[in-house]
Amino acid sequence: MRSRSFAQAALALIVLSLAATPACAHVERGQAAGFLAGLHHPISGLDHVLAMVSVGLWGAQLGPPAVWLLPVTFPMVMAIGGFIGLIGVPLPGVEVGIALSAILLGFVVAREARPPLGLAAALVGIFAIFHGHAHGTELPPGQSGLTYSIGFVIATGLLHVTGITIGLVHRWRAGRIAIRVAGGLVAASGLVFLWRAVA
Amino acid sequence: MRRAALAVVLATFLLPARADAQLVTTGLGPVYDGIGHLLTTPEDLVPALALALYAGLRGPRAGRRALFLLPPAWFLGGLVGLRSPMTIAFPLAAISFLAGADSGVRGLIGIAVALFVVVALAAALVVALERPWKRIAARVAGSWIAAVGLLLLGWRLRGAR
Repeated sequence: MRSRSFAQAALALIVLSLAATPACAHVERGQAAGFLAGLHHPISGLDHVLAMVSVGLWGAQLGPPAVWLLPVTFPMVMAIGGFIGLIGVPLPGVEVGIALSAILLGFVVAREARPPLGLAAALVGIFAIFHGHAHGTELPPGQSGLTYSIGFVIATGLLHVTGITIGLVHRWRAGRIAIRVAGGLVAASGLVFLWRAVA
Repeated sequence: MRRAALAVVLATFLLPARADAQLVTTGLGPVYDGIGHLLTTPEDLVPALALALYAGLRGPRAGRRALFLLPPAWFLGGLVGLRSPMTIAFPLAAISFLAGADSGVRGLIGIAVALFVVVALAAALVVALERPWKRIAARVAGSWIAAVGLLLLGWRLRGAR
């Protein structure tokens, strides 16, 4: 009985193999490619990733309303930076600014600094301009602008959400220490980025 | 603050734009082409979702108003687009793709129907949100859409140079 079932399955497999049509798959084009390229761009550089996750971590440390205000501020101001980059307005020291963002954001997370909310938002916003400008000038030609932008903003926001999610461990003492250590590591990484930017 | 926001919205709607969007061909007729167009064209769908989110956050009354005002307004904008390849507004520009098409009005009906459904679902979803963090999530989504719009404006200006 079992051998008969096996024979039937083998026959079916052979028939299916012989009936196979050519694989006409191709790379994504148009809007799908634009969305995927936009989604990939913010996570393609460790400096961007660390800074954006740090914003989420800092928001988690500060609690409401900073926990949602900072991740709103960063994409909005980053879009302004992207806009400036797209229309061709130069911004000096972009790479240095990005490296400094990792250093300072890592530092405030490591210190668990609690400045006034406006000052925290301003700090995040200033660095967001550098990140946005870098992305704006690096946008690949030939992509769908809107879908690229959608993917780009979603990826940025999700990096913040990742930071906030990691920051949920802040409720425990060991978690608070771990977040501060992570902030220190981000700041140390920022020093490496700064060295590369100026070297 | 509200006046400034209104000024930005009006300025955006008055930006001149070429009507060069393409009709989606579903093979099921112009009404379905219109439905497919709205659902597969982010330039149309994203502003519609943003308006629906906003209306939903403003409460059931605003949601109902958006539901019964936005599709007819969109339809009228499409009729304007049918008359001229150059139109005055985004997203009106985006839906004036039907200029010169054989079945423009029926396509517009499909768009309006799809828009009604999209606004109904999105606004109702937001109206029903009770927990504060869920309403905050809707506002965060709105801010992301605003960021996308700003980047898109940059793309447009870069293309125009």
